[in-house]
Parts: sequence; structure tokens; C-alpha cells
Amino acid sequence: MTALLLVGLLLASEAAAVPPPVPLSFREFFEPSPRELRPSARLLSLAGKRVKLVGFMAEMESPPTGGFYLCAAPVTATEAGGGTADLPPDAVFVVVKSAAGKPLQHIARPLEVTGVLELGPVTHEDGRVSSLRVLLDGPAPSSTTP
Amino acid sequence: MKICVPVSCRLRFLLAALALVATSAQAAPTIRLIPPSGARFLVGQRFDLRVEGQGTGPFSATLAVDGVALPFTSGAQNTLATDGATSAGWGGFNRRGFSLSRPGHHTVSATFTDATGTASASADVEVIRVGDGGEIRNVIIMLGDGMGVAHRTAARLVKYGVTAGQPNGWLAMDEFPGTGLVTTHSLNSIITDSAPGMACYVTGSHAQNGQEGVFPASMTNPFYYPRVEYLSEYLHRTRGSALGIVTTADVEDATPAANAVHTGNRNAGQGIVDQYFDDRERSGLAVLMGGGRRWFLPQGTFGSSRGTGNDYAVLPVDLQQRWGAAAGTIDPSRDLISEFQAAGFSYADSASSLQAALASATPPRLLGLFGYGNMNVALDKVAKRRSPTIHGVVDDYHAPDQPMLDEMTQAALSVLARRRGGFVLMVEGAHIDKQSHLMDPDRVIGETIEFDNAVGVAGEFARHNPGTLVLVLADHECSGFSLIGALTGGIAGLQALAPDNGVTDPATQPGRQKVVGTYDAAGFPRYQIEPDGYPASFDVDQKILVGFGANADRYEGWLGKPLPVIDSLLSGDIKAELAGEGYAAQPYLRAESAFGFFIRGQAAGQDQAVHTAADIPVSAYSRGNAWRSFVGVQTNTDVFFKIARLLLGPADPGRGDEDR
Repeated sequence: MTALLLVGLLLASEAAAVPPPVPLSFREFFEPSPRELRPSARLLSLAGKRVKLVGFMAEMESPPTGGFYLCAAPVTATEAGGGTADLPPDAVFVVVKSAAGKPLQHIARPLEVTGVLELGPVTHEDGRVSSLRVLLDGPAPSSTTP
Repeated sequence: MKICVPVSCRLRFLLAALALVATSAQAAPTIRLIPPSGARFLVGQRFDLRVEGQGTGPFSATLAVDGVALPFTSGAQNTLATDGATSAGWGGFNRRGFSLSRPGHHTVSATFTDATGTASASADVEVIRVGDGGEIRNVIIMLGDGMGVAHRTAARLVKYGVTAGQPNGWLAMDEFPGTGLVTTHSLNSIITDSAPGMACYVTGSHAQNGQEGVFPASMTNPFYYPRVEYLSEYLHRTRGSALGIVTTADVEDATPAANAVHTGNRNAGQGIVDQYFDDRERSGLAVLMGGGRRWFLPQGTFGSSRGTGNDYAVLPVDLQQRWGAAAGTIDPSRDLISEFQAAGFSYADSASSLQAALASATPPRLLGLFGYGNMNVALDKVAKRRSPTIHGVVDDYHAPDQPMLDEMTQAALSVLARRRGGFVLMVEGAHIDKQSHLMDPDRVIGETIEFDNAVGVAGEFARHNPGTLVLVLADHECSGFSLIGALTGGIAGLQALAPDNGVTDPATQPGRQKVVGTYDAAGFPRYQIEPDGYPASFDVDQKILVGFGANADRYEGWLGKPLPVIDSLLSGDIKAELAGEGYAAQPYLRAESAFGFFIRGQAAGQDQAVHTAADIPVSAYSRGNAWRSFVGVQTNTDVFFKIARLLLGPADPGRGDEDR
């Protein structure tokens, strides 16, 4: 059901004729450096812009509310570290406004996500902190909407 | 020197517990007395006493030990607020940092009064006699998280195989002479989690699930909960001993934290790592290695998980004063790596930098953070070492050069061996548990082999350093891990089977169930072991097959779990992008839900396998006779008192007076 919802959102957003999202890959997030996460110029340049990311929804024993973590590879996270210790550091928190206060059902398939890229620390409703977020596109305005 | 609780003592424990229930049930307000009846402490070991109750305020309380009144250190009498740190509707009174120096049984009694009446409670606590010096000075606890008997058997079978019924080799932990069984129950359940599972070995007290170094309480902040002193703290305070903590998990995880941190919330990552540092002079922390760099980076740095949600705030004044504890503060911008370095810790963030840190002169203190969250599992680390130029799982985690657990153990021992006051070192193979939760047997077995390599390092150290005790333990068993047979028909035959995921009729046997060779058909599987000590592949023709008695719903296909294939329904550009990320397209690499047979788990409502109540094996080694103490069946808290008696020795029977 959730997969259909996301696909629906994507289709709706395409139909709204907004600027096309910029494709972004997880491997483009950071400059190659084993010692620190140094954000790439491309990542920084896309802050505040619509991007398209392909990845996998992390399957979590303690799932977040109001969104989900999108990772480059499939991840199953145990309860460790408040539920986030198994996530890679480039996991993107995808904010789903319609899911505020609720966890989303896991989707065991690759997902394409479009929305506005947001960088910088934010503490979410469940207390977890994220530095990389995509604010998922909402549905396009209905033609019947005044 | 048997510490194990005799039947008479167990009976006394039971009667005391019943007495507590009876007196509470008759009272108007509820009352809870901490420590719980049956608790045991070493002579001089610190713990907090607390009387709390729920009712209609204002509240007042009394406390006495062996009939002698004991003043509280916090909690205003005849007020609604009491200690100012208690949950709404409750009143709480504390006596922080208490200890008893007379061995034997003591009666703690309390009353709690509200507007409707008075409730009373009592608890029997036992104080165990110890002396000034025992036959060992160093303790190495090798903690295979979630490791039961079958995990060990699986590692041995894969690494060495069996010929005509005789194992072709033995694990390092198999070679330890002192073998026994340990119960794993927590204060509030037959099924423990890792927090009390570890804490009981180093406090001597059962903790409640989710809590470490504390007793349960109804308080507004989990870091306020009544404390019990850790072995490391006790030894550092009395002998100047050092503490080392090594794990493949995030260092904030329950098992490592349950050696030095006091909290009622095992998930309070930021507060936990801050307390490691803030109270290092109380615990003697000299080595801290594992994952969890995310907690050490200031907020605003990519990869940082620091915020305001799970730090530890200002602790109550009497807790600070009676324990010498840091106050704590909400500080998301803290640069904890820099603070560790300023305090004399050498810092390593990779296997190569760990080697470099030890190359010239052994540092006096060592901090190693080799991943942002949990470190990666052994098989994924080994895969990168075997194929450095291929993008691997460790690259996805931005930690391509992680040390193996045996290398970390060696580094820790190099640092700790210089400590004149001896040391306590805890080394955790964390992913034995985590991969058991995920029901990934190949990665479980790989992790157990890695853990055993670390056990070998610890055993070698003990062989060359008399007075060192090595204990191989687990905090609990995980997943009901069991070896049910071996694959028949080979890997190629398995890959050629039609999908079984649509088989739902119990009368139809899935093809993948038919290939399970049991009894005679299991034979003696063989794995090719590479020079690095790990199997070339786990998908061998006569692969050992694992069942999970505490499993969740799942699909079983018997093959190793690689990355899933690219879904054929995806659009071309998505497939191209995923192919660029390294995903395979072979049908046999598809997710198991696409071909495996469905197994309905018994663990209702769980996505993952769960811990079990099974006893765990203990293996002990020392050059002297210390290892003999652990032969037989014992409780998890017995282990603490045995360690303590071996470290401290029995005392002069005439010594000791009450410490008020």
C-alpha cells in the first residue's frame, strides 16, 4: 500500500510540471575519504533543490515515525543504538508528511524518491537526529481544488 | 571457594521476597524498596538505597538497616516534590553511595507514608566477604553476545570439520579447561536483553531489561536511577585498576555501556558516551574501541548523531557528591574525540591508524572508533581485505579499513598490560547476536570465528601473564540457533530449484525442505578455509543448515544472503543506477522472499528472531587454579562474586563494621 502511495506521489508530482528533479546518487554525497565525511560540492549545491534518489528503505526493528531511512543498500537494523546503529552514515531520512506520528510499513524493493534535499542537523519527533533529508514530494494539486 | 547460592539462601531469598509483597499489598500507598530483596554486594561495594511510592501526597518515608535508622541524602519529608526527580504521582527518597562492610545478611526496612496511610517493605541483602588481594590481578571477559552452545559448535564445524565423529580441531575457547553453564535471567524476566545480561557479570546484581548499572525506579530521568557500583569502579577506587572496553558494536550499545555507564535507558547514546568520558576517573577507563563515531562528532558535522534528545542532564546533587560523578549537561556541539585526545588518549579511526598508534610507543590510553554506528561484520570486513579494489559493504558504511576483533584485542592488551594496578577488559563479539536476530547464519558463524580469534589472543596473553583470568561468556542465547543438518544435492541443485515462495499448502513439501539432509544424510560437511582463517565461501555443496527456534516470520532458501537483485519491474534508469551500485542480476541472488519457503515464526509480532532463556556456556582459563571456580552450573550474578573473590581473596573473618 505504501509503495503504491509513493509511486502515486511520484506520478502526481511529475504531472504537476514542476522542474524535474536532479538525479543524485549516494556515491556522490561525500568526497572519497576514509577518515571523515566530507560533503561533496555537488551535494552542497543541491541543498534546497528537488532531487531524485534511488535506494532501499531500511527495515528497522524500531522504525521511525514520520518517514523512513533510505540507504544505498538494503539494511536491516536491530534495536541497537536506539535503532540506528546499523544504518550507514549516508542514510537519508525521507520525510513523509502524511505519516507524521506513524511508522511506515517496510517496502522490500528499491525505491525511487523525489523531493527537496535538506542538509543540516534536525531532531525528529522520535528524538533521532538526521543530517541528510529529502522532503518527499506531496501530491499535485487536484484539478477540483479551488 | 564456592560462591554459588546454596538452597538455604535461595529459600531465604524467596521468603524475603514474599514478605515484601505481603507488606506492600496491605498498605494504602504502593511502596518499592531498592535494592530488591536477594541483592548481594561485596564488602564496601557502593549502591543506592531508595524508597519510593505512589499515592496521594504529601509523602514521607523512613529507612533503616538492621533496625538502625538511616538518613536520606535527598527527598524532603512531608512534601509533594520529595527528591524533585521522581515521576508525577510518586514520591521518592534516596540514600546515595551507601555500602556495608560487615559480611553476612542484612535487613533493609522502609516505610512510605502518604495522605491515606503508611506502607512498609523490607529486603534481605547479603554482603560477600572479600580481602585485599587474590590469586589474579587481571580479568578479561570475552563476551560473545547471544552466543549459545550451537553458535560455538557451528564455528568449530565450519573451521575444522569432523572426521569419523572426531572434530579435526578445536576453537580457542574449546581449549579452556573451566567449562560450565550460566543462567541468564534478568531482574524482571526469564529473558534478558544485553544490558542486564552484561551488567550482572560486573555488578553482581540483576538489572531490569533495558537498564545497566542501576536498579529500576520511577524517576524523571533514567540517568538518575539508583546505582550499583561496577567491578571496574570498585577496583579502580580500591586498587587503581584500569578498564578496557572493546566491541564490534557502536560503543554506546548495551553490552559495552554495561561496564561503566549508569542509566535506565540503554538507548541514550549521547549521554552514554559522554558519561564514559566524564566519569573516566571513576571507572579507570583506559581503552575504548568499537564503532559509534557518530556520537563523538559535534552536531553539524556530517555523520554526527548528537542532539538534545538523549543526553544526560544535570544529575541530582547527592548523586554527584556521593558518587563523585560528573554533573552532565546537554551539549550537542561537544567534540568528544578532541576531549579524549586532550585527556591523553591516542585516537585511531582505522586498522592502519590503530597499527600506527602502537608502532612506536604504546600509548597510555587508547580510543578507537572504526565506524559511525556498529562496525561491519567479519565476513564483510574480510571480503574487503581479500578484494581491496572492489566496492564492498564496508565502503557503503564509509569505513573501508576496519580492524578485526583479534587485532583490537591485541591493541587493548598492549595498553592495559602496562597498568600496575591490573585491569578489567571486556571484549564483545557483538554481531553474533545481531546477525542471529537477523537469522543470517553465515554471518553469525563468521562472527563467531572472529570472536574466537580474539579469544585466542586473550588466552595467549594469559599464558604469558600469570594472574590473568580469561572468561568466555555470553549475556544470553539469541535466536534458538540450532544445527539441523546439511545440504543435499549441492549448491547448483539448490539454485536450480523452482521457487517455493508460493507453496502454502501444508500437504505440499517445498523443494528446499526436501534438500535438508538430517541424521546420516548430513554426513561431515567440509569448508575450504583460506589463509586468513575464514571460509572461502559458505555456500558449499554440503553446507551446514541452521534452524532458528526463536524465529520470526521469514523465507528460507539456505543460500548465503548477498545483496538482492535488481527488480525486473524497475525502470531502465533505476536498474542502471542500481547496477552501478554493484547489485547482481542473477536469479539465484534474488531476495529469499522471491524463492524461499515461508516459515511462520513463533515469536509473535517480531520482525526478528529473539533472545531465549537458555543457559549459556562459560569457558575459563588461567595459569593457576582460578579457572576451576567456573566449573558447574551457576547464576550470572554468581560469576561476578567468583571474579571478585579471585581478584580480592577472602578476608580475615574478624574484619568489618557497618559503614554508615
